[in-house]
Amino acid sequence: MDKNRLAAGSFRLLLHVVLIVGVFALFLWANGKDPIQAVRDTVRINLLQWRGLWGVMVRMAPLLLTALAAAFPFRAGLINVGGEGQFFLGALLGTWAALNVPGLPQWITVPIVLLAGAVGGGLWGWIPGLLRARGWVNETISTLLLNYLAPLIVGYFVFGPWRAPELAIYPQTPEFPDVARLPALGTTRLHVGFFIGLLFLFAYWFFIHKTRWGLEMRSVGGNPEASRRLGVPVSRWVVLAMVLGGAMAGLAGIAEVAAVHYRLKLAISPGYGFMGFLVNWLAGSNPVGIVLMSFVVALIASGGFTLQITQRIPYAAVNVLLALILFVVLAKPASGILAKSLARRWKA
Amino acid sequence: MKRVVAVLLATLVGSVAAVAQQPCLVVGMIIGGTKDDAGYNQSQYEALMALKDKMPCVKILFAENVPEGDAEAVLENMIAQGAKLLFPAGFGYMFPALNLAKRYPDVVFMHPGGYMLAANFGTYFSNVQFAYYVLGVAAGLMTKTNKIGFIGGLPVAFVLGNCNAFHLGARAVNPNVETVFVVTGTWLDRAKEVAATQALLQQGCDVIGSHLDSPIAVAQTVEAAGAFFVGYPSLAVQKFAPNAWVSGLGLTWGDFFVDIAQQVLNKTWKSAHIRKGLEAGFITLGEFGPRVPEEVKAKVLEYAELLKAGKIEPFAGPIYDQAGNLKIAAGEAWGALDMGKFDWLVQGITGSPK
Repeated sequence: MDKNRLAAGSFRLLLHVVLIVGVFALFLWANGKDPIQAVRDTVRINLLQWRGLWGVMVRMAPLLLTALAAAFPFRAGLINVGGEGQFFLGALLGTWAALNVPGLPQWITVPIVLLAGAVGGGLWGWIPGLLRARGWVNETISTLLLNYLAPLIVGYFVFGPWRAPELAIYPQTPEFPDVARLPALGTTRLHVGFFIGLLFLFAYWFFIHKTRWGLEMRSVGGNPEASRRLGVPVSRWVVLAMVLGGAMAGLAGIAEVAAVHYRLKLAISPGYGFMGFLVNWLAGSNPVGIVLMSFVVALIASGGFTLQITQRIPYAAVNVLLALILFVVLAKPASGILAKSLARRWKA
Repeated sequence: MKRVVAVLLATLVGSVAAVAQQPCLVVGMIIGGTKDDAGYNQSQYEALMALKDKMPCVKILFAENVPEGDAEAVLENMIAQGAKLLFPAGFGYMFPALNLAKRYPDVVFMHPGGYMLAANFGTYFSNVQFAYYVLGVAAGLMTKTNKIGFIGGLPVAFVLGNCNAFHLGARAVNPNVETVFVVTGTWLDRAKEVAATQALLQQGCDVIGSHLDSPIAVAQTVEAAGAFFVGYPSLAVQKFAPNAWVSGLGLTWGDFFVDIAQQVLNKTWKSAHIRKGLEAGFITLGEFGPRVPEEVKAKVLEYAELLKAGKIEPFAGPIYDQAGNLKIAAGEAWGALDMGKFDWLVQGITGSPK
């Protein structure tokens, strides 16, 4: 049975990729561009050159974690659209730690900074979790609204108390000390945040499938009423799932700041929180799927710049592509059915 | 197999052909907004296009809407494609570009408005504050209510400097002018810009200036209200306010980009902070709008000429701040290097410099 599901799952993933690439190719062709050359350029520059590949992986790093921000709550039957806000709050608290930890060595400072980021994101997930557990506000609404609040709070600190004096025109905090920065791999731009993302994906898989807690959380997602009657603390799991999700996005936020920007400012996310949500939906909350889909989304974003440079395709085309992916997400039930029947036939 | 050989051959022939007509220089630029924003990004893009026109042997690489976190990757991509001169054309790209400059010492970086230098990293910008004084003169002559308005993105030194210059220019020809200053809190937010413009118009301001990434929304709002508008930082914004248009300032770096490209080619380029004004064509005064009387045009042009010749000093003391403190003493004058020091507004301006 499990094998059947796996086959159906991989078929679905494959189908998504083929659909996305196919529709985009059509779009390019309709606009008088050469889709084959576009794919060739994207592959040549972003996959076949180390430099390009690192770039794709750097972009994947936050996506792995923001996808988990949606995946944890999803397993408990919750929809967390607040990855973007949790990303910002994680960056905020992590920055506070980075700028205030007194001269400790890097191997202590970095974990403290990351932990502070996770706490910040977790806090931003705890609020909607609590509101939902009490039955006051639907978490989809509250997480969405908190997305608007978080950058304003970051803005207050960046424009106000934390503003670096030398940056007259561009409000941002002072630079992180070297010990608070996430190390990169050799001379590449690939930083340890990517591996932290993989590590948490594994932890997520283990937690969900191999622990009693994971079972309880999934039961809450499956049938809250039955779980309650069986003695599962439903409210606690609702809050916890949101906190865990928020912590993942918060980690993504501070990792991005500590590895790429080295300073907190408002322009730290081109929508990583939202893209992570997209990744999780495309992947059906499956950890391997999350790796694959964040790779695809990261490749599209990198490819967007490549195509601008090599073929003068406006960046708006990439936005069209991401919108197309959303349609694919909406068509997921249909593609699921198709994939299942394909898998069955393939087995037969 | 045959096909593989054919593809390989085709690639080989292709690369040989590419070598045969190699560009003399590959130049790359990234911008944070869109190339048609009638503002900051468009002025950068137009300079790049001017370079392309004047030096046809140059190959251009260009990308828009590049987030700061992606800047390093996109610029590195351009370097991989042979770029030897890069314009990371947004203030927020300074640090990513400096990182790259360290790793690629044979690539020249020219950054707009940055305050840091490296051996292969220089900066350029226009002395906007001084030129804005001329728009102030125009506003002071055109206003009927003796109240003019200025919309800034963020309350930072260069924005405050432009507003101060706008006010001082207006006062120079009309001692009764008062200026109202508002900020939107961000470089681009059309909804807030419309709200800010309407607030200024309702307070009786009838000439509106601004310092934003893209002043399209302001221009359209002023046009609809029938008031007057001065444009900055691209003259392309004129078409959004054809009747409200008084004049404007455009950042014009096309010839300068050509010089830089030549220097890189001749290996005479040297890292420096380059700041020039109207006199060097780094910034250009636009044409006048249809409702501007001849005597106003003459007066504005006269001031522009005096400024170019260095015969007037917009920031010559005595200048007082809003609270009446003497900020620039008599006999003293602030020059181009002092423009980053403004954290105050000149007496006669309403609004907060914080």
